[in-house]
Amino acid sequence: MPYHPNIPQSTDDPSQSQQDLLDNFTAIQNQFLVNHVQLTAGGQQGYHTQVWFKSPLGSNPGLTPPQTSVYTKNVAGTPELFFQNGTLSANAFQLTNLVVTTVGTRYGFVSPWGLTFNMGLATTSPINFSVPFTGTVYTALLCNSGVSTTVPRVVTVTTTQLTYSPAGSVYYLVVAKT
Amino acid sequence: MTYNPNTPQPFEIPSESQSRFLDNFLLFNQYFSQDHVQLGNVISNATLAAPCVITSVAHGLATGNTVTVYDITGLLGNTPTPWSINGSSFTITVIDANTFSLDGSNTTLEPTYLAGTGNFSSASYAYGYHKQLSMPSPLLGDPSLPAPQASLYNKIFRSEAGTQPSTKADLFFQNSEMISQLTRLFMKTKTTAAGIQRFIDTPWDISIKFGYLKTIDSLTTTVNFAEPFSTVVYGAIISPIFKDPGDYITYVVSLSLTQAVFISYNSAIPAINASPLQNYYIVIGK
Repeated sequence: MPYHPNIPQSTDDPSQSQQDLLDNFTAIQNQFLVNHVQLTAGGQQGYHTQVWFKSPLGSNPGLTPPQTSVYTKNVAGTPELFFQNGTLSANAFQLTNLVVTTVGTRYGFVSPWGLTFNMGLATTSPINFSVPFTGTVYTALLCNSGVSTTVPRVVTVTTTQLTYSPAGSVYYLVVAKT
Repeated sequence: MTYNPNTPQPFEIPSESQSRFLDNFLLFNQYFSQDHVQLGNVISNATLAAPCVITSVAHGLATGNTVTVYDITGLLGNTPTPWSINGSSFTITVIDANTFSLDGSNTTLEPTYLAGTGNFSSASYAYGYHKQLSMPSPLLGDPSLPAPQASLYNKIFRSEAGTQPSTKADLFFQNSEMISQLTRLFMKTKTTAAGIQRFIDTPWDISIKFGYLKTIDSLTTTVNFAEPFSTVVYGAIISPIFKDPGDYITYVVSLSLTQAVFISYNSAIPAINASPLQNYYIVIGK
């Protein structure tokens, strides 16, 4: 399916460009049909029907605000969906298959919603978060693991760790601002 | 006005539209390639060599791909004789990101190549696919398309009070049922004497409320949700914060769409402890 972006030249006899022009209008029609309402439809031309991404970008596009971009980028060899609203990597949000950082039985992930979660099973205090926070800690929850009859309590929460008492095995969930 | 992919027919050629046609095809290719695989791939140079080496910036091809060449001026292949590179298909060998050779071609005896002419297509390109979806500026409101239409768009979030917590845009999805903010969910905060209540609506049709709560030993404490749940409350967990001396536990007494009732019990000090006990909690519902 040829497309001739550099025709007709000023030296071209228009009558000899007829086939090239026809090629171009056909190519535009056929290629635009992918993911869009076709140009010859009775209405809603230009709307998307869905979005297919050819291949993951090698890096974040980093468009200048207020421009934004939805795109795919490889994470562990698989294309995942991203949204970026600034020029920095911190402005890029992974929307699918969030990466969970695992340290033993401690897990953490940064969500696209502005929240970071740390959770898991700990046997000793303090619990060092697998993903440190950078903002306000919104909540920190503990409960017993196993047969212990003690009541675990939060002593302190910082951006890097949670201290609890009394000693014992606990499940924990900490939510904070990313 | 309709799009006519089958024109112009030979008898329809406009005689004075050449420059406008050229502008249109160049610009459409340029604009379309912002977010899509470009319609056509421009050749900027072709060598007089065996094999002929093609320069096309960021061609994106891989060795072994097949291309078909069009519109080159000045190059006719030498072997087999005579034949034209134009319209011919070649398996290619990639030299670098911007150049590749046409396997089996021979243009050594050609007199010249007219710079800037030529283009090619390849079945290896996913024509029509997106590379990304760029949005030039945030919408001022939600598109509110009629069902079953839906929209993915960006907007700068504005709270009900009209404040903008960020100057940057976020991604939204709207269908006939609801508007879902997909990135950087807006955290609403209500501070009372009993503590701090925070609540967000997620794109999964789930609301999460969590925060910090002061309770009094042996007395119930009610958290009235600043924004009630709409249909069901899935559950709640509350966790004490260390207090010395003391060993207390806090329970959920009752849950409804509008409130959660908690009670703390201090086992170390039987008498009512007027000093507030402290807890973190989370409540999740639809």
